[in-house]
Amino acid sequence: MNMPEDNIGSSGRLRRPKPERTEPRRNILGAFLQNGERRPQTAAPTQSGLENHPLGLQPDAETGQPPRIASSQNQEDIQAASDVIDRHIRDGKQYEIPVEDGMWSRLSSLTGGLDNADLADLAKLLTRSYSELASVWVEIAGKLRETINSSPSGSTGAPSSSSVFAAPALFIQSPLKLTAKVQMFADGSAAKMQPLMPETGKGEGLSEVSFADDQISIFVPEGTATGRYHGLILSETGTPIGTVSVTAPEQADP
Amino acid sequence: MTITNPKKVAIIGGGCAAVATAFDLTRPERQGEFEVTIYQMGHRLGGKGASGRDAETGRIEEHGLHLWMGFYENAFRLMREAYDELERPEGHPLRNWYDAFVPDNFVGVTEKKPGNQWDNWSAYFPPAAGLPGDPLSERNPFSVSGYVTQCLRLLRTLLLSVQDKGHIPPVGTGNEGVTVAATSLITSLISTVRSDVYGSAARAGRYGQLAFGALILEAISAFQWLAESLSPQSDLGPVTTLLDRLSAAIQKQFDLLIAQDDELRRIWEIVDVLLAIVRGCIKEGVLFSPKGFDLLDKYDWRDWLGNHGAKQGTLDSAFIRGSYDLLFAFEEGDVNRPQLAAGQALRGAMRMFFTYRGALFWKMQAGMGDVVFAPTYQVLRNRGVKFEFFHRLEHIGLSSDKSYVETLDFTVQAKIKGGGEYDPLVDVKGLECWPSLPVYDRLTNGARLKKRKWNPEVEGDETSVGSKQLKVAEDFDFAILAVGFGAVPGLCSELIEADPKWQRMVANVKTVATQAFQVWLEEPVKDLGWDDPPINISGYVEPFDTWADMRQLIKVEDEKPEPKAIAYFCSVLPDSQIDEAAYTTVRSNVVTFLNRDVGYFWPKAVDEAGFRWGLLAGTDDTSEDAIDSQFWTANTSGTERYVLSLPGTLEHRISPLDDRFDNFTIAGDWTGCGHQAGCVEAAVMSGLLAASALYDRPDLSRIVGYDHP
Repeated sequence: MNMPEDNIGSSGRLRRPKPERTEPRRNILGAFLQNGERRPQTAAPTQSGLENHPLGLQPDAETGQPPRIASSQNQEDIQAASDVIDRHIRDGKQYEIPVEDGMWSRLSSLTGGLDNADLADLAKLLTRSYSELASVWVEIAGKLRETINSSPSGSTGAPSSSSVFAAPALFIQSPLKLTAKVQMFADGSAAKMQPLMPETGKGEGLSEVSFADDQISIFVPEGTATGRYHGLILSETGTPIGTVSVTAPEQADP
Repeated sequence: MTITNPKKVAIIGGGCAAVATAFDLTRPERQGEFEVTIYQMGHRLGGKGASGRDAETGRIEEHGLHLWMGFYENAFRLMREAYDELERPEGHPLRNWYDAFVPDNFVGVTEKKPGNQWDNWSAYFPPAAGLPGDPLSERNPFSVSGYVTQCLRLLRTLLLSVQDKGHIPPVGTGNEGVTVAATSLITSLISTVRSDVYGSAARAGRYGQLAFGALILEAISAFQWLAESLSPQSDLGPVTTLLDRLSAAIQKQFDLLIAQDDELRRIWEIVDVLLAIVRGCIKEGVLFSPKGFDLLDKYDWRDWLGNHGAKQGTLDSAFIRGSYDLLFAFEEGDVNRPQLAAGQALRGAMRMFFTYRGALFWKMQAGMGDVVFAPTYQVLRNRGVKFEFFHRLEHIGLSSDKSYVETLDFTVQAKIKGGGEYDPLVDVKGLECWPSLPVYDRLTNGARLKKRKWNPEVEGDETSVGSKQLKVAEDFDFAILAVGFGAVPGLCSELIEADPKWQRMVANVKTVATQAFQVWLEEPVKDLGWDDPPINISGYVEPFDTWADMRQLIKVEDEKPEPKAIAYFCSVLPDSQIDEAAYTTVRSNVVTFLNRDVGYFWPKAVDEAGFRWGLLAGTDDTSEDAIDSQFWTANTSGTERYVLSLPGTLEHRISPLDDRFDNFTIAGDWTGCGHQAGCVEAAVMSGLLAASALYDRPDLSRIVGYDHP
C-alpha cells in the first residue's frame, strides 16, 4: 500500500492524514439524520395505501406490523381519539408553506444555510415525527381504555359488562342558569369533591363545594366568569372516580 | 491480500479506549494495514475498568461498580463482534455476549423525607425493541422523533406500571390510587374526544386533570407552532408562552393531588423535568444551534432546569440527585458541590432513558475484566496485536520543532521468565480471568516478588528492571495515548508547553477520586430485610450513595462455602481525604457506613450495637475486624481518577481527531469524543475516533451518537 505523499515527512516518518473535521455535527439535521444519513429511505406519510393512513401512522416499531387502532372493546373510543388527531393534522395543512417562502429562508439561515432539499426533508421528518407520536398516543388511549373496562377498581375482576357507575346526586346553588354534568368512570363510593377549575386554566375556580349524604353541593356565585369548570370526585381513599362539569353561560346584559 | 509494510502503532494504556482503538485498527478488512502494540503498566488490561480475581477464593475485585447501559451502542457492538470472533466452545461459561451481559430492568433511587427518613423509589423499565449493538434500521431510534416517541412510551409505562405491580416493590398503601387516577383521568380525556370529535387537541388537553397524552401532544404542537413563528417579524414567544401556560395549568391540577400520593408526585417530577427541558431548549435556541446541546454546557444541570421553571421539589428529587451520583458529579469529591454540565446531562439523560435497547441496564455476569478485557485481549492476540505488560510510560518527547512525537520513554517493571510475552490470564471455574496481582511464577524473580506481594499498579512503585525508549520511524509510526486523564499532565509536559489547547485542557478538565467496597454475606439480602428484586439503587447517603445487588456473581466465584449475597457500594472520595492514608480512610468509611447507614437497606443486618459483623463471609471473626476479609479500594492515582463533566470545561477537551501533533493522538473518556461523560461508551467512541484519525478516509458515521445534537 502506498501512502499519499503528503502523509510522509521529509525524514521518511509517517504523518496522520489531515482530518476532514475534528468536531461532531450538532445541528438539527443530526437530530433527525443520525450519522450523516442525508436522505431517509423511509418516505414521509403519503396519501395512499397503509402508508397512506390519513394520520400517516407508521408500522409498529417493535413488530413492524400495521398499527392496531382498535379492538372490539374500545374501537369507538379509539377511533374517536384517532379522529381528533386526524383532524389536527388536517388543520395543520393550512400551515404548509412552500419551500421558497420566507419562513424557510429564515429557517435556512438559522440552521446554517440548509438547502431547500434538506429543508424539505426536515419538513417531512417533522411530519413523520408527529405521526409517530400520534400512533403512540392512540395506543396509550387504547390500552388505558382497555384497563378501565377490564378492571375498573384495580381488583382481579372479570371484564365489566357495564361502564356505568353509581353517581352521587348533584345540587347546585346559583342565581345563574347553569348546565352541569356528573360523569363517573370508576366504581367506588364518592366521599370528597375537589374545587372545580376553569377549563382555560385562568381565573378563579369554584371553591365552595362540599360532599355529604351522597350529594355534591356546589355554590356558583353571581359574577362567575363564563366558561366550563371541571372538578374531580374522589373516593374515601382519595382515588378519583368521576368528574363534575359545570358550564356558566354568558350573562345577559342587565 | 496482506499489506507487507504495515504502519506501526504504539498504544499506551489498556483500558476501554485503548482496546477499542486496537480492535478497530486490526479489523480483518484493513488487511493488516496497522501493526499494533499495546504498552500496559502492570499485569492487566482494563484501566479504571480493570478487575481481578483473588488467588484463593476467586472473588472478583473491581475498581468500583460498572453497569452497562442499554444505549452503549458502540461498546456493545464491539463486545458482540469480539465474542462472535472468539467462537468460544460449547459449554464455556461465557460463550456468547448474551451470556456475559444480562438485562436488568430495575433501577432505584432513594429519597430523603422529612425527619431524616429515607424512602425508595424503584422503577421498572420495560424491555425496549432491539438489542444494543444491533445495526441501526431505517427506523433510527436515535432521532428526535425516536426520543419523543420513547418519551411517550416512558410516560405510558409510568401510567401502566400498575399492571406490573407484581414486579414493582410496594411503596406503601395507595398504589391503587395511581392506577385509577391515571386511567380515569385519561378516560375523561377520551370522554371529551367522544363528545366533541372535532374539538382541537388543545381543548381536549385542558379538560383532563392530568392528561399526559394531550400534554405531549401540545408540546409537539409547539414544535409546529415554532416553525410557524419563525417569520422574520416574530420571536419564539408564542411557543414558550404556550408551554408556560400548559405547565401552570398542569401544575395547578397536580398540586391538588400529589400532596397525598408520593408516586404521583414522582411522576409529576419527571413531567416537570420534561417540560423544563422543552421550555429551556426553545428559549435557549438549542433547536437550531450548530452547537446542539453543547450550547448548555456552561450551565449546571440543576441550575438550568430551575431557570426554566422546574420546581424546587423536582430539583431536589431523587431522580435529579441520582443523575449526579451516577457521574460522581461532585467537584473535588465534595458532595456539597454538585456540578454537572447541563448539555451533556441532557444528552446523557435522553440517550439513557429514550434510546436504550433491550434493557435500561445490562449487568455483567462476571468481573469487568472477565467479561470485557479477557475476550478482547484474546481476540486482539489472535489478530497479531502485541502486548507489552509491565511497561510504565514516563515521558513523551517531542521533536525539536514540536510538531510530532519523537520518543516514548518507559520503565520496564518486570521481566518475563524465559522471555517472550507475558501470559496474563488465569482460569477460574473454566473462565479466563485476570488475577488481582501478577502471576508471579511467570516473572523473573517471581518468588521474591510474591513474597512482598508486589503490586505493579500502585502509584509510586519504583520497581524496575530497566528502561526502554521507543523512537519514531524505528519503533513506531503513530502513538496513541490512552491512559486515564489524571496521568496526562505528568506524561505530557512537552505537549502542554508546546500548545495552548493542551494548556487549556489540563487547566480545565478535572477528575475526582472514588471509593468502593464489596461485601460477601452469609445470608441472602432477603433475610436481611430487602424484599424486592435485585436492584441498582442510587441517591443514598454518603459516604456510599450507591448500592448494587451482585448476587449473580456467586456462581462464577470460587469461594467455599458459597456466600449467599454479594453487594457493591461506591461513591466519590473527597479530595480532602486523599493522602497516604486514603486506603485506611476508606476502611473507616466502610465501617461507619455498615454500622450507621446500611440498616436502611438491610434492617436485619444491624442490631443495637451496629452492623452484625458475623454476617460477613470468608471469616470466623465476628468483630469489626471482620471487614478485613472483604474488599475495598481508594481510587486515587492519576490513572484511576474519574473524569468530571463540569460546566464550562467540556469545550476544552481535545478531540482524538485533532492533529496538532502529526503522528500522535489521544483516546479516553476524557477526550472530546462526542459524549463527554466518564463511561465505557465514551471511551469506546473515543477509541474509534483515535483509530479514525489514522485512516485516510474515516467513516465517522459508524460511530453511533457522535453527531448527536
